[in-house]
This record gives sequence, structure tokens and C-alpha cells, in this order.
Amino acid sequence: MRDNTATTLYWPGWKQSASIGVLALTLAACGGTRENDEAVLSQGSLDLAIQQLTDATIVAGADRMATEVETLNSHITSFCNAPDAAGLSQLQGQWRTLAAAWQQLLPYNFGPLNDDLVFPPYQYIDSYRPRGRDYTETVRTEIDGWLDSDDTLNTEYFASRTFNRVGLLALEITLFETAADQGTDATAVLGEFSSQSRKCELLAGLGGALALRTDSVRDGWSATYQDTGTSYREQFLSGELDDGSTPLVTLLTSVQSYLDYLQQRDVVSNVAQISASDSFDSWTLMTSAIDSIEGLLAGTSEEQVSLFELMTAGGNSTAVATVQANLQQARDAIDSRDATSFNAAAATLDGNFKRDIPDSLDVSLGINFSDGD
Amino acid sequence: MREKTMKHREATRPGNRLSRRQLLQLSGASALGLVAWGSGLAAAASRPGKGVSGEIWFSAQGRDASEYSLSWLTDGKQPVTAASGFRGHGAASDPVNPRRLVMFARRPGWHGLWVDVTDPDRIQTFEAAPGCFMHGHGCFSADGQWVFSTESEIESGVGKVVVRDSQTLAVERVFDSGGIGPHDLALMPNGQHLVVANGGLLTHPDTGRKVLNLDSMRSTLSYLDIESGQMVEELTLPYPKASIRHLDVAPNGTVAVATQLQREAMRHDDLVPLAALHQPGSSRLMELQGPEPLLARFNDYMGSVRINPATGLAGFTSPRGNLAGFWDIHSGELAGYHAFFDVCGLTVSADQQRFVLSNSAGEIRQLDARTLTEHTGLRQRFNGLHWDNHLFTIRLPG
Repeated sequence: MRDNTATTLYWPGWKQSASIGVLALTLAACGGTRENDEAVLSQGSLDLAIQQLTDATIVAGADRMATEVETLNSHITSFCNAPDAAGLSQLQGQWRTLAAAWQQLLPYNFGPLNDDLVFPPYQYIDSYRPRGRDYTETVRTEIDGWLDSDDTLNTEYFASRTFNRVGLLALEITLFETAADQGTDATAVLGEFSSQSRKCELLAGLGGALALRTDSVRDGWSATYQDTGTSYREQFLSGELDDGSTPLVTLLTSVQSYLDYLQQRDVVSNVAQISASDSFDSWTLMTSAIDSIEGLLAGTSEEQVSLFELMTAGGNSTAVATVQANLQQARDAIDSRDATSFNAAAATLDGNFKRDIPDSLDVSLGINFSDGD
Repeated sequence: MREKTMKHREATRPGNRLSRRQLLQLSGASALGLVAWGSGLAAAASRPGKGVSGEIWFSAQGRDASEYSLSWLTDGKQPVTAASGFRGHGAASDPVNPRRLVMFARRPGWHGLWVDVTDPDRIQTFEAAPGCFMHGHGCFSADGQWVFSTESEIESGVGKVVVRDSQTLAVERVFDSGGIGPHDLALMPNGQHLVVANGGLLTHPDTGRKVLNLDSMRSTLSYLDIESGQMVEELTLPYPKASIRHLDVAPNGTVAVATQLQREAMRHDDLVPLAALHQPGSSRLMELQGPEPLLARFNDYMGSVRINPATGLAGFTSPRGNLAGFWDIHSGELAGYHAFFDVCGLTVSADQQRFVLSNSAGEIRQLDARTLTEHTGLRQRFNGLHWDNHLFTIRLPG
């Protein structure tokens, strides 16, 4: 007998201990490329599809997220050396790019993004995700305090702050409005950076702390995960998930949870409010999310064996058409800026991920999960 | 007791859930309404005969009508299934003769199943009380003479506790449960009171599991005198949409309850504690707290609860969160947690040294009851079995 991951926790007055057994892992041999165009619904083809979508959508998404944060931090360094309007504009643009990249990764909120039940990494990137609470005022108050304090505002300082003080929201507030009166005029924002060096320290510290999180997520997916010596990608694809779930079930329930979040928290009406402009707003982010989910289902290249193909091969082309129609409904709602319709489409897609898609792929999400009492 | 031993009835083995009328047609109803049929599934399973002994874990099991059964493992091995023809939910064992098990149909349910684990070919079904449907749980009296089950009057929706003679399974008495939608119930250590989780949810068999009173629902924890049927105490939670659904009782009378939140009837997204304790002498339910991210992972839903008397820890499972959480019943403090896909079944090993968890993939995991560390070497998977919501333990003497 051996002991597995122990998570014993005492609350309040935390003492958390975790010993992590080394997992013996094998990477499932899934084959590299498709050898013919005729998809067949089988465990082998499903494994191949999961491998390809994992690489094309999730691993690539985690990599992109980390890269965009690196770019942001590079821009922060340049800007803070000599604050000017062009630099601020570039930084604000990069934050928007980063926010869009985040919505492409967030549907896959498992593994390195969500590997701690008490302190999940994702919430340090996006404080709105856990419960849909708007911490804007909290962050504003904190920024006032930080600017007035003698604390050293560096990466280490912000890495130890609570989740609702850091991440994308804190960067958005710092970059897009003045601390003095929450004005969003770029000239006033620039003026504050020019006149208060601590605001640049704050910006750099927040950016550095965010990079710690996104680097960890990228490394967890691609390099080594929780000191196991193997990547989460390998563990995920080999089905060695510690909670006993299978890769496809983990994937489907994660996307379903994200779609539930979008409509339950009315995300489109609440995120990216300060950074909104003529060419960017929360609808831009929703487009990114729908792009990502459609890519997951339909594939992102012709070489990919897609879940849609496998659903069709299993005789479920009607279900594919239904999901495609619902994706289009979401896009139509985005085009018309109709939050009610968008949330309705997200709810319908949520149902697709609960029933139509797993049924079409002959996957059970679990009888207790789906209809417990 | 009237019973029949009917083996090899493949031709009449139900392929779908049977209606009460079909059951009666199949078996020829007795005056007591007892029916029985043999099971090809049961007959095909390995069969420990008389003299079976050891620790037995039992649970409703099966993913569809062809699989529905009461199933058990003896010393973690030898899965045995007694086909039921209906989806079971909760179950109970006779405290005097623990080999005698009863399983209750999932709501809206019409049947119960009686089986002797030492002679699993002898099974019996019984029906919901006249004019009632079952909610899925029941328990025995301390002397093993009576079986109590939670049911509801079909037309009025009034919650009932139905009392059956455990030998004949005939309905002897019916009294009010103290609320709408009674679900789990248990006998208190004094042997005189029942504690009932009235979920507060009004349903009608004509509309299946659809909740008909979300706006006005009222969930209560009710203590009832088993002799008079009178309510002796009633408690509520401060969250009106938290449906108290499952419970367990410690030897000192502490009651742990698990709730399921009716979020669609709420106008906010605030996190609501899902677990609570009623400690002896207290006039209120103590909500069990924890860090918000962890509580959020339970997804507004706890499906099962079990107290380990030896360690004073209560476990709560959430298949919707793929998570089990454990709290100290004396201090109310969170003690730990364990992630496990679609986990719902939860019991305590006979020696009380382990929590045992089951899921719908046929898997079993065991956690040290003090440290909550998993003994991974004891992991088991029974392909083809699908454990339903609740898991129970008995020990049969050698």
C-alpha cells in the first residue's frame, strides 16, 4: 500500500500539507498525423483528436497567454523608462490583447490553471472568474494605499497579495484610469505615470506577479507539473488524472462550467469595462471565447481530427448541426451586442456540452453528476 | 413473510423500469402487495452462500434499467448484484440481522427491494404505501422490527414516514414527516426519535422530478417520535433555498446534514454553506464554513454525508464538484478534502479507520479516517458497475 496525495487542512489557521506521490506515467501512443480523411469514431481516433486539440488549443493557449504577459512586461519596462503617449497606447493595446488571450484559455480551467482547491492559480489572473464578484473598488482602494505607502512595490510584493488585489483587473485599473479620480483620459493617465514613479513600480510589480502565474501555467502544461518531472499534457493525455476522471470528461465539463459562468455571471456586461474603446470591449473578449470553443470542436487546421468529425462519424451529424447553429447564435448576439441573447446562447451551448456532445461521442459524464438526488 | 424464490426468469426480467401494474402482473400480487422475481443478473453473479461473513459495502447500482440492482462487495471483493428492475437510491440494514438489506427506489419511486446477502437469490420487492410514492431512503428501528421510509402523498404532496413490518413488509402505520419532500431519515441513538430531512421540494409523479414550489419551498430538519408520530423538534437553515436532503447521526446524537441549493430560485450568486451540524442540546443548525474557493467547488450540491464516530469527522460528497470534504463535528472546522471524479457514495469502514468513497465509474477509494490520506494501493475499479449515490457498510460475524 502507498499513500497518495494527502491534502489535510485545518481551518481557520491554515496548515496545509501536501505530499505528492510520483506518478508513473506513460504517454499514450496516439499517432502523429491522420492517414486518411475518413474519420471513424473509436477510442483511437478520440485519443488522437484529444491530443491534437490539446496541443492546438490548450497548450498553445497557455503558451500564448504567457507570451502576451512577457510582451506586456517588456512594454512596461520600455514605457516606465520614458513614459509617453505612444508607450501608454502600446501598453493599453497589449493589455487588451492579453485579455482576449485569457478568454481563449479560460474555458480549459483545469490542470495547471486550477490545481489547488483552496488557492487556484486562475483566480490570481482573473478575480471575476470564481464567483463573478466585481473587485474594482477593492483594487482602487488598494492602489491608493500602495501609492501612499512605503512598501517596495515589486513582483514579490504582489505575488503574495490576495487574489482579488492582483491580476488582469488590477492591471486594467492601473493602465486605463487615474488613481486620483478614476478618469480615463489618456493624457491624464499618462500624466500620473509621469509624475508618480510609484505608479510605474506598481505596474511593473503587478506585471511581474502575473508572469509568475502564467509562466507556471505554461510550464505545467508543457514542461513539468507540480514537481512530478512530467508535464500535465503528458499526464492528461495518458489519462493519469488523480481524481479518476478521463481527459475528455475533464475537458467537456470544464467548457460546460465556463459557459455556465458566462451566463450566470453575465460576464459580457461586467468585464473589461474600464478598458472599453471604440474597437475593443467585452464583446471582443466573447468573440475570442467562442473562437476558442469552436476551434476545440471543429479543429484549427485541416490536419486535425476534430470532435465534430467524430460526432458525425458516429452518426450524430444532427447534433453537430445543432451545436454549430448555437455557436452561430452566440456570434449573432455578439454582432448585435445583445447580452440577453448571448447569455441564452451560452446556456444552450452549456446544455450541448452536458448532453449532445458527450452523447454523440459515447462518453458518460457520470450518472451521479448528471442526475443525482 | 410471503416470499418466492424464482430463478431463471429471463423471459420476464424487466428491460425498463416496471410500472406497479406490470409488477403485479408479473408476479401475481399477494394480499400484502409483496412481489418477487428472480434475476438473471443476480443468478449470473458470483454467489456467496450461507455462512458468508466479513465486511460488506452495499449500494444501489446500475446505469440503466437492464443494470439496476442492489450490489455489494464482501471484504472489497466478490461483487454481487441483486437485480431490482428499478433504480434504487438509499438502503438500510437490519441492526439485529445485518444480512437483511432493504433498498428504496429513487424518487418518484414505487418499489423497495428486500434481500438477504447470504441468500441473494431470495429477493422481494414491496410497494410504496397506497396513494404514495417513495423518496429513496429508509431505516430500521433499533430492534429491527420496523422499517421506516420517506414517502409523499401523491395528491396532497404531504410528506410521510411509512412504517412497515420488517418481516412482512406490510404497511403498519403512516405519519406526517413534518414537511414537504422528505428525503433522508435516520434513527436517533435514543431509539425513540427519527430525524428527517424534509427537502421542501414539492414534486408529483405526473411531472417526474420537476419541482413545483421553488418560490415557496421550506426545508426543515424534523425530529419525530416513532411511537406517536408527533414532531418533537424542528430546525431550519437561514437559507430558504437550501434543500436539506441527506443526513447522518453520530452516537452522541450530533446530526450532520447535507443540502442541495436551488440556485435557479435565487436572485443572487452568493455562496451558501451546504453542510451543517445539529449538536445535542442546541437550538440551531451550525453551518460548516471553509475557504470560498473550496466551497464553490461543491457546485451548490452535496449528495451524501457520513460521520465517522471514531474520528469525529463528517464527510460530504459532491459529484457535481468531483469532491469530498471533511469537517470536524465537534469544532465545526474543515479538516480536509479529496478530489474524486463523480464521487457520491460515502461510508465508513467497519473498523472506522477509513472513509470509503464510490463513484459512477465503478471505482472505490479509501481514505485514512484521521489523516484523510488516500490509500492508493486500495484503489479498485469494477468495470461494468456504476455505483449510485449512496454506499453503506455492514459487518457479518464469521
